[in-house]
Amino acid sequence: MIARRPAGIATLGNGLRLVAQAGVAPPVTAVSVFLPTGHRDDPAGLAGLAHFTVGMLRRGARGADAFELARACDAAGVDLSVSAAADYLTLGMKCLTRHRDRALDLLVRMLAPAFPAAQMRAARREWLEEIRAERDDAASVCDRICRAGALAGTPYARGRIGSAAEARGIGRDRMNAFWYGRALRPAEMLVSAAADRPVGETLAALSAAFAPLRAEAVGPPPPASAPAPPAAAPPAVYRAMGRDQVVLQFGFPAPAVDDPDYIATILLATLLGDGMGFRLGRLRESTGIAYVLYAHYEAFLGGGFFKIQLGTSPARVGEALDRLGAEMADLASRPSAGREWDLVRARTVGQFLQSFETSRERAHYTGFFERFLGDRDRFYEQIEAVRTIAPEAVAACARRIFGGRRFLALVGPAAARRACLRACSAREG
Amino acid sequence: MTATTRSHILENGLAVHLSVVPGEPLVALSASVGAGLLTERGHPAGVSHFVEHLVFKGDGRFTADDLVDEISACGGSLNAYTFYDNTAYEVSAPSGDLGPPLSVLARLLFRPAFPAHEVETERKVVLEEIARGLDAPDDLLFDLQAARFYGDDHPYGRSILGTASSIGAVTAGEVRAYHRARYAPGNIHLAIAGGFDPDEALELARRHFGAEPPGEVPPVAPADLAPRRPPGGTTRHPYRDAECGYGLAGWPAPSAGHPDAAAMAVAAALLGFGENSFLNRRLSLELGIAPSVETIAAPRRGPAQLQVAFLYEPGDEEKILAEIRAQVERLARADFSGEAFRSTVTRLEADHVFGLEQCYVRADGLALSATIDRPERFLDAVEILHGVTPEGVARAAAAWLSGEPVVCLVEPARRGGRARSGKGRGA
Repeated sequence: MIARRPAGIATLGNGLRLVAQAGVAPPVTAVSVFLPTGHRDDPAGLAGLAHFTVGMLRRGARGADAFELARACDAAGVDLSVSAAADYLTLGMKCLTRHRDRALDLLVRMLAPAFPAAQMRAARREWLEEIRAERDDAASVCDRICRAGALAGTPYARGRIGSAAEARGIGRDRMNAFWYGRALRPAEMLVSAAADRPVGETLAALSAAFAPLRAEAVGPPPPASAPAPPAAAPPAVYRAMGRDQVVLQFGFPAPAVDDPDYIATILLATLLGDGMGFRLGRLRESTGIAYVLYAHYEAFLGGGFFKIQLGTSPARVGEALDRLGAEMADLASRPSAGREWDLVRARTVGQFLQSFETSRERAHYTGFFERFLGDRDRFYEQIEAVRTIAPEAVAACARRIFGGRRFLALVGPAAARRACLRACSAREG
Repeated sequence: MTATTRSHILENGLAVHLSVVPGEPLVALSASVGAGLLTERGHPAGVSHFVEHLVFKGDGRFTADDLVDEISACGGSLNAYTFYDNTAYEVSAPSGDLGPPLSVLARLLFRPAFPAHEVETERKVVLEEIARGLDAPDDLLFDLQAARFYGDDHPYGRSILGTASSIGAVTAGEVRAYHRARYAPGNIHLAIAGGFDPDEALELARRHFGAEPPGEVPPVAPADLAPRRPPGGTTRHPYRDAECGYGLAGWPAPSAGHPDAAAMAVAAALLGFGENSFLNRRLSLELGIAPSVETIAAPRRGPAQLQVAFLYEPGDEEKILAEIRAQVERLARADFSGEAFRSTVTRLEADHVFGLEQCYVRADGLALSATIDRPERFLDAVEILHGVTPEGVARAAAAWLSGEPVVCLVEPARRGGRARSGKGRGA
């Protein structure tokens, strides 16, 4: 049984909910602010709006320019993090607890960005560079193609950032409307903290800092884009890129975070493996087919994505596809048993504990569970679920995932084009 | 929660560092071997990393699967990495019986047999890893710059992975010889951090590691530990269909044990660590010409570098480099406020404490520090940091950063041009 850390919850007059968790830790306070929109809501033709907007929080607020924010941040030793997930945005910070109140003040100020023109110009150049850098990374290119194919027709088919043309179209007015119209809604937000102090003290500090936060009346927010209808997509796409290896990725729609198969899917990903041990690790050890070879599951509020990625020489693409196909078929047809099943559950429990190790992780997960699943203790329940699940449930989950829609993306050298197309009947794209 | 740390040297020379965090539900173990790039002189390039892969192959009585299974049964994970001066083998697990992880680490370190068929299989894996590195322009950049900075006559000038030709040709005999030379108890620091009983841990460490004969470890050549001050200059390397430019500039920096090391760490942070650092303010907030500027000051036992890595839009590189040089020159002139200095120290202190939240960081930091310098480097990091003065920073910057940096640029091939210098791993 895992000892539960004390936690408390409060709601401010502006509707903002607060969660605080106490723990035995170094003198650190971590805070995550959850805002109720994510990149899945980016308007059509403006992919990247959410991601680039949260990036602007560092670049100046009402009453404090970018340089003042930067000075305040370092003076309090604050480690800032901003992120646009598919379903929500987060503004997070971590600091030594003795600097907590200054750090909270900084965080609240950053929630009122000013989008100054000079900073918009500077930031736009950086967005374009970020887009180019992602296109230089074969694994990212492969993932983007695969995700778009496997999740076509859902709001999760697009990534965090879009094209250079879309980035150029994102201006100050769009950001203002997005931020103040859709994101900054205290009654739909939640602030979560994990600290080395008693729950009551942390809640009081959060209350004092966030009580003045108000929603603003602005024009209507930009409409979210309707997901493109599922295309009659080919099951596989090959794209030429000037690299030596072929990166290939299978992608599948997967259960959402509140789906009854959520825990089974996590165990399936562990069973296939990420790193040494379990199925893909053993495949690597026995054949030397790849250095990078892993399975990964990403759960959203309205769906999920399961992928298996591998990088290998062009000559071994056919073999790689055969071997991955065999592993998937075996997992779907035969429940794990005996020592393997004991090991996968033990490893998964260990992974859960490690994912809750730092105050930042605890603030994030506790806040996420409370805000989106209404259950701040979900973490502990998930550990119990891992311990009690039956192997048949994981095999059934494998059948659900691997037996449904699937998409294969291959990215590799032009010289490997023929081998790739032959191995998987891919279309060039 | 306060950690208490104590160190012991076993009779065979193996050092054990125990950092107990009462109530911590996790534990991490790190066994750091003094075997890395620095110790490859006279051995095939990349052999440290190849050995790291091969020790997992067992001795015929146990296999890689057995080792991983034993760790998984504890709910743990097993990892390894090879770096400039060391190779580390690490276990993270829920607190509990330390017997299985210590047994696994001891067998990894002291019992590999390097069977020929496993060497061949793993050679394929490492060749794929090398190919992956060559396919990533931002990875390739670091090898090209190291080759330029250190040259052919210093082991730091090599790639940690080796090359396709060196790994393609290395024999099982060469692997064994290197393992024999470096994997001796006196060349290993074992650190355990998290929730555990230190007396029991020490007893288990003695049981699993103490019976190994001491062995002899050849010293590192003094010339390989001496500071390097290469002539500066810029080389350009066209890269296939890259869309971005990737730049890396490096200046000489003191080794981990040098008296200037702490002051240079603060200098590096003033330059590039934090929202208000010189480079973030100038390049990102004012000019918006470098979306990703990272200052790297990895401590090394041998001659180190202070590096600045940056992404750029082709055409911007000269402007960015001029700005970086100008900001570096500010350090030597002590052209920074007392507030900036204090904020930087605060930020570094906070960063160190943040790391202490993770058992893995505690164990790795302790074992690595002990390998390249001494454990106090990690244990007393905050006190050491608060001992640095603005004058000390300026003095160290003037001593180390006054010359031209060694710069490598990996950029889209369509801009034309051939590499004017550099080593054989061109794209």
